[in-house]
Amino acid sequence: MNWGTKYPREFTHKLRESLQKHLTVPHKFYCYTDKPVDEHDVEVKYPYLRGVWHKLALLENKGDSLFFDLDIDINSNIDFLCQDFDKFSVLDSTPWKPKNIPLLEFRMTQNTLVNSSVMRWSNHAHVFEKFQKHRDMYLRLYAGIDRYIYNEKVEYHTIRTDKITSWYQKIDKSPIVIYNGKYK
Amino acid sequence: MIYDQNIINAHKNIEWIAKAYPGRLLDAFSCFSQNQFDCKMWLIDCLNQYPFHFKYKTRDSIDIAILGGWYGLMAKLISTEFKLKPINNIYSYDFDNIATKIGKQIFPEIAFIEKDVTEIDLGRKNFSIVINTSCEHIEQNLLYKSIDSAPPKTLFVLQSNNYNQLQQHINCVRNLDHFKNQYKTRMENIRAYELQKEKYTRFMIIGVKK
Repeated sequence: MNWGTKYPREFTHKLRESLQKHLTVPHKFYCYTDKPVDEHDVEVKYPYLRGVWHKLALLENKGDSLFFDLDIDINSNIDFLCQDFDKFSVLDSTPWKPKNIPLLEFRMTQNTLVNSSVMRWSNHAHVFEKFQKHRDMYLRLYAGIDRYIYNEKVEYHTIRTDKITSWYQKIDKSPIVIYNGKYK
Repeated sequence: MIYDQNIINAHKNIEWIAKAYPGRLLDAFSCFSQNQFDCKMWLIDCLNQYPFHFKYKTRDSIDIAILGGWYGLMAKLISTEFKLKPINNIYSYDFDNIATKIGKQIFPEIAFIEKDVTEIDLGRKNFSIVINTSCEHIEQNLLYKSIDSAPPKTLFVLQSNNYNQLQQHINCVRNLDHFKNQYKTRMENIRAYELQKEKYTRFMIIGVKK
């Protein structure tokens, strides 16, 4: 997903090259964007959505699917992700989440313990349909899809593995390092 | 106008909201902000001066519906500040079930109904006045459908704005004429108003369904 002006096109190319190198399972690469240029680009289907909410619309795509944010590093083989496509899965963010957030503050701010830098699904369009039905309310209540998924009783599973880490943890060479919150 | 805590003492309910629905505390603060208060009071001031006839105006009391009523600020202010007629019932509709639960707790005298604005059949109700202050959030065809389903002479009060920056605002209008023109074939005796805010202009029309 490359929407808006936050990430130059080079981020997309880098992700594609990383996947060619480190994902040996046969796959097709697509980039959903509001400015389609390259062969792998697909125009976003809901132009009125903004930012990360386009990620949720990807769940309309049926078939075994993996999603990666552009601001990640893939350092070694990631074939381990190609399983359990029957569940809608996101990352468990508890390993890097600050432990000292008071519970009331956590709940007041509709905080989250999941991260959608990596997502996995196959037949989960209903997650997006639920969002679309009352989109107005969800956009008012949540700053992004991680908070929506966690707080709105979306049926999800978490990918719990030490092979995916956050830059907050200062572990440089795990197979996937996500840079959540680094590029504002 | 300064927020009148004698009308809405939302702050006494903060502790309850924080315990029962902490994720809604900030949203409730937004609902009861000075800006929201000002826009609602502006509506009521204009409505109180509306000179034309509308449905059941000659009856002893009338029913009023608020569409997209959120936590009930509009309904509560109408209940205390509306001067044209005595009110029989005020119904505040919103599909947000938590908003209606919180509204019931804060304003038990208001009838909160959990229902999508687009699913309300106004033809089956006896509302004299229907208020919708969030037209910018609703697709235009659904707004038309809502008006078309209402009986003739129902008084509609509609607000919108030109604040395109929020992604929830899918149906902003360019200016007051644009807003008014959207409804001139469906309403008569239209009064139109605008209120300049810091970042945008709020528009309002009050008119009777033909």
